[in-house]
Amino acid sequence: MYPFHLSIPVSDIGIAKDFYSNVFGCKIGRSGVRWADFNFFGHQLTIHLAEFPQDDFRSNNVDGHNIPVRHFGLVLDWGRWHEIKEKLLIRDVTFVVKPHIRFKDKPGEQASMFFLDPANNVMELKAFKDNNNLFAKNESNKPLELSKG
Amino acid sequence: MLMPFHLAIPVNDLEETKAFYTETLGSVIGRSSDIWCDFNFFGHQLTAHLSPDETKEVRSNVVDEIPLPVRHFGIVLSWDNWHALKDRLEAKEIDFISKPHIRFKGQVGEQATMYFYDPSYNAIEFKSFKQFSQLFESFDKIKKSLSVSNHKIFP
Repeated sequence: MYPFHLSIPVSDIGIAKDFYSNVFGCKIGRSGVRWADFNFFGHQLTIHLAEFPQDDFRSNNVDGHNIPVRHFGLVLDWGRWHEIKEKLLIRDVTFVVKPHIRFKDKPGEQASMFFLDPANNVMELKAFKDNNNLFAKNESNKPLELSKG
Repeated sequence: MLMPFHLAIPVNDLEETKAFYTETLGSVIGRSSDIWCDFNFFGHQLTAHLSPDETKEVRSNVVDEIPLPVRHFGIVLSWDNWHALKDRLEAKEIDFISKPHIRFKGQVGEQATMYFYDPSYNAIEFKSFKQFSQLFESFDKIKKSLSVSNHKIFP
């Protein structure tokens, strides 16, 4: 698989570097005064200093939560998801959707949380107990009633 | 092991979006509903949400004297696959924001890049490093390893 690349606006480069380095353990790659690259779990995440605010979210309703449409994140393994969850709780970040488990003890069991980075970019981190479920199809808007059934 | 990235973006029209990501970029449709659709986008999970209000605004920063949208996404491809995709996009007469070009040609950090919009003005960049190992190398480290410290390759 090839690395993903995502470029996002931030309001303060120093604060963003602290967040991405210390919460996620990202190493900083190349950087300039107004931008920096991170090795984000093997993917290239680029932050650009931008003065426009990030607080204008549009949300769609997913599973009864209002989820900001524009968000990014990773599908982590189960253990790493829980480690990062603890770090986020210690930092007292703002959760859009608190850490929770969907479909507990059922096929498609997954952990999910939505939160804001320091520039209010919306992140989602999820983990499937069984990683083979990521792209499984279904008939309708019931994401995880899967073939394993 | 590289874990799949996940990105959710707003789109104007799901059918137009499905056509673009499958036919132009070779993605496969995963789960979907009448307001969203997942794609297997080079192994990553790209989710398109119907949200026309959010698809207009594009802010740019100047990079290499070209104004490029700050908010963009894409894949770091192999050199050969980047060129194969470039040929495919040119054949489809994609309207590029920044035409396919090589930065730092023949120099340390040589990379290929191109920018274009999807039908909802989401900016996409595909890039490739001639030496893939340089993806996360810092400027200083690359300079040191190649003893080119006086050489103004990197701004």
